[in-house]
Amino acid sequence: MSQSDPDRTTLDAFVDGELPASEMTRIAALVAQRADLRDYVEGQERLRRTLRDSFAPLMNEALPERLQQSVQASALRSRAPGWAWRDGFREFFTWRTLGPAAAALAVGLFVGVAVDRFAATEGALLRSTASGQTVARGELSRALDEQLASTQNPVDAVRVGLSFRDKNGRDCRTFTAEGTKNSLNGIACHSESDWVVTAFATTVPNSNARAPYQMAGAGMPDVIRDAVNDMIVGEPFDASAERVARASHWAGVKSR
Amino acid sequence: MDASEDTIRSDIVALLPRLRRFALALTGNRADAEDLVQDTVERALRHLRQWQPGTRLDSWMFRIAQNLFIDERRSARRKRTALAEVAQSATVRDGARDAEARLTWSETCSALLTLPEEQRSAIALVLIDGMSYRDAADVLGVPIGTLTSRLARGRDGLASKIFGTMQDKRP
Repeated sequence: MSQSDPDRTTLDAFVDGELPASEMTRIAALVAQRADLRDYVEGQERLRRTLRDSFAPLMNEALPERLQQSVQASALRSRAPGWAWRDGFREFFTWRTLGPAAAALAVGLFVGVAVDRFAATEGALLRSTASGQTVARGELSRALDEQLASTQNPVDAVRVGLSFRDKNGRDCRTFTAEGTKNSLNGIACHSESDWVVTAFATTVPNSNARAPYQMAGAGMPDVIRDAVNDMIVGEPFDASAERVARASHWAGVKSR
Repeated sequence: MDASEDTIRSDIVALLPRLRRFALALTGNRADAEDLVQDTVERALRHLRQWQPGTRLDSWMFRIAQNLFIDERRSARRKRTALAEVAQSATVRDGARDAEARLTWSETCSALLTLPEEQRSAIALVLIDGMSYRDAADVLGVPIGTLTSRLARGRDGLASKIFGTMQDKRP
């Protein structure tokens, strides 16, 4: 290994998306060229994936009754975790909370539809801000912050699809939050510290299991695909660019 | 209850699955993990006004959980339970040592429990929960260099346990 080779700490930070954008790009190029570095990085990515995937079924389990009762007894309203998302969903799908931005989007809406996979364990995925924007929260916000399309698990409750730069210089990502009855599909763009949801639609999911290596944009509703086409500048991010964008905390052109 | 406090409480509910996963990674068994989450939520709600708006709610909650775990780890009961479950599950099955191992969470917990506690916490926050180094170091109250050192040792220990020889592929 030459002196210019990345050390162990640098490679681990690369795997964890913790390097500055320019360094992420440099290491990505080295990894692409060098089999020994690639073996190490792929091994560490496999470890991360294996650990995280092992907990995936647990994340979809209902919380235990005694914990729910404890939460309720602690004056966490009378709303059990299972209902938090569903209530949020209903609130989200009203014109009052959506505001003019939603009215401008020609997308299909289902009122009061529970995505029951989330109803069991997840909190609200979306919220309205005082300025009338709809932003991601909870599991959706975390997935948009952290998940890479290239390494995510096909059974993840929230999956990201395409990541791209929009005409306003923002980093944007498409997402799917899939339930057994309906799926919520949308586009979120990072702005300040929030993911602002700029378009969304609900669909009835494909009954077939998702293929493990499904294309990032596959299964995207037409209305979302059209919205991406209107917004995108250049090509969607490849795996390397996606990793760099994550390392830059989805800062868009501000990271350049 | 004002609207902002209501929002925070709702956000706490949304964190519960992640908190439970973190608690499982720390304790290695459901009963103790659920106790830890319950204690964490109750303490957070009692001290809700100590949380600073504009800072990460999840980091604050995870820090409470971590501190509670440290406070209670001295409990002989907790230690006995964890060790018993490790023995019962016989660590990671040999079948996991393939290219794309599929582990159950209990098998992962068994592997995690073979690590020193400080490495386990670091792995749980960064590799499993996906926190940034900065946020994980903040939760654990250590410098980032200490965190990355714990992560490296934890990675080696887990890779050895799960994949057998992966740590030997280091360039």
